[in-house]
Amino acid sequence: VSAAISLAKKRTKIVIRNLPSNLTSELFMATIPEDTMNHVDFWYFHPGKTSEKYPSDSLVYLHFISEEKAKEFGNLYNGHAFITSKGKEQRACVDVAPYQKVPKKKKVDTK
Amino acid sequence: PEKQTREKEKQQTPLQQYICKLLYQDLNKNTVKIVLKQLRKVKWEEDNEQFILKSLLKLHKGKFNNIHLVASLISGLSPYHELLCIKVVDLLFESVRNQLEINDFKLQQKQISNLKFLGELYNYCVIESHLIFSCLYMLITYGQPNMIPPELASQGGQLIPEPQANSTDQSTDSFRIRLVCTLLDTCGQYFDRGTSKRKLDRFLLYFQRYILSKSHLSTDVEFAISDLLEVLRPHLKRITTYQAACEAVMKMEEEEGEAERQQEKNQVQN
Repeated sequence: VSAAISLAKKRTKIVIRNLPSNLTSELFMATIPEDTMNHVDFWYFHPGKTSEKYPSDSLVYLHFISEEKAKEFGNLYNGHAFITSKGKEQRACVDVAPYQKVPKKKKVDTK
Repeated sequence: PEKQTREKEKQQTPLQQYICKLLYQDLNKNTVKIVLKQLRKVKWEEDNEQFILKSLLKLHKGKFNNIHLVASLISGLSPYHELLCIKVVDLLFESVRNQLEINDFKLQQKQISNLKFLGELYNYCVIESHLIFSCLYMLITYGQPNMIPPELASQGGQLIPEPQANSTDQSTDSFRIRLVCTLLDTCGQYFDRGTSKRKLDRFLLYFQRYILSKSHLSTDVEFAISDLLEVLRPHLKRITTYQAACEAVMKMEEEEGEAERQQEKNQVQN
């Protein structure tokens, strides 16, 4: 399962899954070690949905400068526990992102 | 009797309504250029971007036959909004994976269109072939650690320990076969030479083993498979027993291991 899926060669972009759906990016930042962001050159937070019918988890994608740092972070953060609003425990799950691309430069759309 | 509460109507700004209209109603093969232009003219702010991202991923709201047009929109937007395209692919893959975990009957049609979309993104050169193969292997191995090919298994252990497998894939459930067929129907015809041809041949062995591991296949799935193979590899002889398929896979894995060792030896000698 999990990391086994990714056929990508370099594995510096990781995804954190299974985060509570009502998490915000500020709250997430508070849960990671302070110096993590020094090794991250690109990241984004995708909020989940709290709908009753089809809830979805929040996601965070992080791109590290080196594979070692990514590994280090993965080992540290995998299984990080959150308590949801219903009082249940929800454990974060770190994985290699299947799609490793990150944006390069910015072009301004003149249209 | 209790008062029935009416569902709240979604509040959308005119711009959001316009984007929805563009994507779900106006889009067809004659208007795709206009829609692309209109989307590029949108003021690209945080909120709008998030909304466009969400709307693009809600494929089930549009027509199934329009999915390739959405893929072409993405490819047209990619030079200007690289981040958007990366997010689309990331979240699409995540959604495929999430639905493999839940395996909810109600979401099956959505999942089919997800895979169709992924295939079309390959056809429009937004993603590369290795992502398609990642997805294919995920479809036939997710939740079954013992089915994973060796090169993936060795990769997986390194970075992160694997979470427990939750088996949502029963031996009577043939939906994943349908998903593989959908994806390969969409973009399989381009894997006909070079490395991608070899990769596909290799995958087809694993796929046959997966098919044979199912206890029963309904006729329509069986037809979907034979239609697919007839297009992709008309001369392929289907393996008929699970035993034979396992042996074929093992033989290939051994040969690959041998070749790898040979390569390492050569490198040491040089």
